[in-house]
Amino acid sequence: MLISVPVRNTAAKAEDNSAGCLVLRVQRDLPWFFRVPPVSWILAIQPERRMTLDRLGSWVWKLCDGNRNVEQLVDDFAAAEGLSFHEARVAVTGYLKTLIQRGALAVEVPGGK
Amino acid sequence: MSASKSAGTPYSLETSIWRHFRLRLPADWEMLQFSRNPEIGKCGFADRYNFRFELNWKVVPGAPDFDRMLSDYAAKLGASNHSGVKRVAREGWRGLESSTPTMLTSRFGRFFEEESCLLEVVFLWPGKHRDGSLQRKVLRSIRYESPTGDHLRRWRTLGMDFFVPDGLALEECTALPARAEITFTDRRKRSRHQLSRLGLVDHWLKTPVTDHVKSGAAKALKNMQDLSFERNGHRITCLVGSMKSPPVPVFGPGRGVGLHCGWICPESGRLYHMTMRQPGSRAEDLLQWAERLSCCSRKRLAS
Repeated sequence: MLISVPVRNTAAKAEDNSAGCLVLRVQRDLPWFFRVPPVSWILAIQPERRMTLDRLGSWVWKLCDGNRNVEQLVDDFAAAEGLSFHEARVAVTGYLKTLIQRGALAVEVPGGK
Repeated sequence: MSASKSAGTPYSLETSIWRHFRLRLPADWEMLQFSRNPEIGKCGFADRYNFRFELNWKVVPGAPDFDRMLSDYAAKLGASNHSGVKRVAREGWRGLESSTPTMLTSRFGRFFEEESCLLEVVFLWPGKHRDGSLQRKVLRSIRYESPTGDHLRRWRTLGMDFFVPDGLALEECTALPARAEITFTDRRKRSRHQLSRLGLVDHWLKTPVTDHVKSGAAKALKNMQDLSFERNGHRITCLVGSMKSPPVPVFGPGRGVGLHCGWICPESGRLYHMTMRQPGSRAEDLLQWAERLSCCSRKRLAS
């Protein structure tokens, strides 16, 4: 886990809101029949998923540049926030898990393992 | 960073004191597991990649038969996936060394008569190298921590170094990112000491520390006295007062003195918060105990 590299979904768009938080919008990949009547009349599924990240989550997102692995992210987070390694690890991996579940990030494992 | 330090690389050791035992371990081995039960329990310490050390304790009626214990244990290890099991003795400890396909292990035991307690420590060495020098240093450092002359017990854990009256038991302990809390009570739950160490303060504390402490104190105390002070660069908000009576007295903490104090350590940026209630004690006693909390190695509150 520590050597894997979080990679942003290129379809995810990020905007700063007035509260200093980041709003991420990720296009949903819906099957075609969800987009046409009558299903689209019955199930009004939004075409994109939105999530608002707090200051810490925004910071983690911005550091996911495709070059840093999880260990480096954790070290940077720990240094910036004055946390121990394991405190930062729990916080960072928690944010990463949420972002991966929402489709905003993927994880690349070096060596393809 | 490599998975383990290479031979000869010096470790920076830090002291921990848990359940009346003191030991020194590498600074990057953090306590990730702990037990509150004083009769039988375990603490586990991990570096960033693996668990590295276990401290196990068990209260026993008397000194065990170590020869028989080691024989039984060696047989049990041999029957599992451990190979090369052999007896060793280091620094007054007796134990076994063995290996599995992925790591080397060293486990040592010793009986501490002061607590009638059998202590077992386990070193876990990922890879193929066992640091004998570090093992000896750690084993030499482990000792029983006696109560002080004024009947206090010292604990040093979760980034705090503090004293609680002997006779109070560890009731609760929370260790979450940026939030460590530890609570001691007596058997009837009338005395209670709670210490907290909170991080990420800039993200959640929206009022001055003084107001934060006062708002908590106002809920629990009446006739408050402000005994705030400054010590070694730390501005400590400290309030002492009488415990408020609960609506139904039989369910409450009873009368007595309570203390609330808090400060932000200028070195770590963390907020330290203490609350104490101790029926039958004086405000001076509570203040003295509060002053003995150290939040950073270079700035002890107690002079």
